[in-house]
Amino acid sequence: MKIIDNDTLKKIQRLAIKTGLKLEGQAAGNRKSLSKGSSVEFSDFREYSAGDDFRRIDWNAYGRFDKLFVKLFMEEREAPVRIFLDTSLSMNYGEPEKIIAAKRLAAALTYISLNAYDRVYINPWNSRVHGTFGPYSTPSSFVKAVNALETIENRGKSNFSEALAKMEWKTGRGISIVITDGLVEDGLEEGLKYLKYMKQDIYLCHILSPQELEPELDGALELVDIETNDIIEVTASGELLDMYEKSLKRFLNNIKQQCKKFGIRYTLLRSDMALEEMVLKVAG
Amino acid sequence: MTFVTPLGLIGLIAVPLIIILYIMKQKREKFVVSSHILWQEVLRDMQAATPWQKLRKNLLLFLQLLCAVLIVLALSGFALKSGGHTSQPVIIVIDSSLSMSSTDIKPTRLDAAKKDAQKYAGELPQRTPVTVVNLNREPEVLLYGSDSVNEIRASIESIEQTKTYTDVRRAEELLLSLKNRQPEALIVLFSDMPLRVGNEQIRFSNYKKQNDNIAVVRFTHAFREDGITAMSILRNQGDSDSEVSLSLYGDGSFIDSQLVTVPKNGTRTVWWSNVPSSVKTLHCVIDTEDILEADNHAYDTVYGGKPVRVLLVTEGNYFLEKVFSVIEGIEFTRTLPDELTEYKGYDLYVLDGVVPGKLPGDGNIVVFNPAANDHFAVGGWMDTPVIGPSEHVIFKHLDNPGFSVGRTRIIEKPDWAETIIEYNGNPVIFEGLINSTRILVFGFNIYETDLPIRTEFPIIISNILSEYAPASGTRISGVVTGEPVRFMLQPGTIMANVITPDGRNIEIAPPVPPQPFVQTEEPGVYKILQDNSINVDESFFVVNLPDEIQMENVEHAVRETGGEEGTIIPFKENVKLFSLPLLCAALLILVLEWWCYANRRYA
Repeated sequence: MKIIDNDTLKKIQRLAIKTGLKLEGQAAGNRKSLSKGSSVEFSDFREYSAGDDFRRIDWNAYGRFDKLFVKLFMEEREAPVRIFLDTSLSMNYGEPEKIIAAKRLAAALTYISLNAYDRVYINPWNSRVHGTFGPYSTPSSFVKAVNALETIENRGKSNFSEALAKMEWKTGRGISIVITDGLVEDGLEEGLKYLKYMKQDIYLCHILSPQELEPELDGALELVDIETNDIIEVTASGELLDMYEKSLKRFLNNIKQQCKKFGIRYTLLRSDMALEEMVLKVAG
Repeated sequence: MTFVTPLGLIGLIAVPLIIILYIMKQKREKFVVSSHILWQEVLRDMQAATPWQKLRKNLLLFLQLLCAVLIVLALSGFALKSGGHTSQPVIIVIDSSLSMSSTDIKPTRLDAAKKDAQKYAGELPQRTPVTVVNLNREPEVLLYGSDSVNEIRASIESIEQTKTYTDVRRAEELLLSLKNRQPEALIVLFSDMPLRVGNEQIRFSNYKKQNDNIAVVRFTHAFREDGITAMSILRNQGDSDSEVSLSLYGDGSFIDSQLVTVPKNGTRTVWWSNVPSSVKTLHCVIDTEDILEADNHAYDTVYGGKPVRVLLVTEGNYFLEKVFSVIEGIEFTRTLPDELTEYKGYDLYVLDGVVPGKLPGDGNIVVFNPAANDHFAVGGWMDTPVIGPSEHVIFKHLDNPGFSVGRTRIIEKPDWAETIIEYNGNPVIFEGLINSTRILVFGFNIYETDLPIRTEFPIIISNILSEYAPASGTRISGVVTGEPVRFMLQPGTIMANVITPDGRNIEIAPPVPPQPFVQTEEPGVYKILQDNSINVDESFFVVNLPDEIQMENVEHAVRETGGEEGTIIPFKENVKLFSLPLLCAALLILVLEWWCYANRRYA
């Protein structure tokens, strides 16, 4: 299955160039960061203050303004970017399927990261992490990344914290992008907490399908869980749907609160959104 | 607790049926969702909102079952016995008179009354003393104070339909007597006519559903020069005019038919002319069906042949001469005692002041103011005897049977005689039988009474003629069903039989004179056969149904002049039926079920 066609790729390229899309993080990478530091590329001046490296004082400016200024340079960092892609069966749900939207978003974010010379890892997971694709560190490796994404299959039920706990990876600062529907056994909180512990800057891309956000049910139904095949009998009614809506709101608010608590950038996405819109919402 | 129609409980099979249907209910449509995480939360929320929600899954089933049970209970007549601990004696009175055979209530009013009475008795508290009274011309107690369910049932069941009227006066007397013996007893009347018993309360179950009945209430005939003219009187008891077809039969053969309209709550007289003189019996019938078929028939007998010959032997009695001379259908002769050489050739000898030594053998004798004779001792005079009322046949049809007598002979009652009226031990009027000749004796001279100037006088003479003229001995008229008939057989009869309308041959003589004939329960033409060893004389008499309404109304009218006023209270069953509340509850539950279904959260 082709997840990104040429047109979409061009759109993402344009987006990345025109809007200067970038992922923020602590890890230095080969791209402009908002963090100012001691790289070779000049960025700005500011007045000297006690504690500054006096080697960075611009004496020419002192001669002209009679004030001490310090040269500021764009700090360049190498940021390992890990994309945790939820590949449980629940991601196969929706019209369009959430996993399609998730893979396309993952591809787009990979592209943006590679353009910034970041190393990109892709980790598909459900109740455990099924290997690590990457690192992809050059723009030319984007095709490999896309191919890898296309080969990933959905299976099983998800458990984020358990999957991360079993994962072996190199510690250190980095950026983690979690793409999931949040319908995870035991929730996302433990897993997010663990990532935070691993000094990750976290982006949570929460994808839900329109059928989950605004379900249209009618009559007597057996609701079959796509992951477990368990059945719940319901008879659809206005009241039932009202209750579902409230439950959904609570669910989303809960995740938002957790993200806020851990300083995680949270973005709620719909699987029927255009890719550009999704990218803008996540990295814009 | 009881069930009026236990058959309705069959409906309980609906309960397992509903359960089976519930089990086999339509399969739900499968709908795949990404996860149950959100839905489980929804379910938890809903259960938290309504603690009984756990039961909700089967609530519709429970409601349906409850609804079905309630409907079944209503259909089976679920009822609670009221007053279940009292054992107040009960007098169940069931009317079996003619009108109770009406079919406005199927199959008949009496059948319905018996059924209700059985049910009522069955619902009485245990050990309730029950008395059962059968109400008709001769009210009778079938069962007294029994608490045996079987006896009560059998007693009620034994009541059969009669074709007589209800003797209201006798019924009242009987019930009052029973009430005196059981003062606390409750009288429950199953009838088509309310009955008042003193000032007692009567619980009345009415079986008169409608009154659309037309009856032949009178049927008679008269001789005319051109034949016989018959007259029928029809009465319409209904509230609308009715057109009916009326037919006349003579000796079983059709004579004529008419279409007549009888006004509502009124009567219509129908005349039939040119009826052949040769017929002996007439039958008038309403061909149009109504609720009471029995009273659509009336019968009459036509007596032809030689007229009754009456001989008056007197020195001169204006009143007797006059009264006999105006009576139609008799051949009347008057003679002086000295002119008569032999007493022979007459059906009735009326002797005024004379009694022959040898009594006539071919006719009966009526004697006024008897002279001394060989047959009974006649003495002097007794002044101003009091003539009280008598039930004797010569006083029938009299409104005021008493009359004044100036003086009467002192007569020693002979062994062969029965006193009809006596005063101070002296027979004033008596009758007897000597050698099959009947003798009626009045001890007074008719001139010394006020009888001739009273309106009752011709009636008494007519009664005497009917009773004592041998030729008319079998001329019996005005017999209604259930009434006994006394036959005056022709002298010389050694054997007599009656053939009833249903073909039974009943021997009535010997003995002579015969006992009253009581098998008159069937209306119709009865044939009398009198055998005098030389030939067999054939004659007829008819029995008609009583005009029940008129007779009962007369009785009521007489009763109401007494001033006592009982209370008729509507019949109330011993049980309280819950059919209506049960059906209402079932309806409410259906609405509730609908509401639950419409507002279901999950099922």
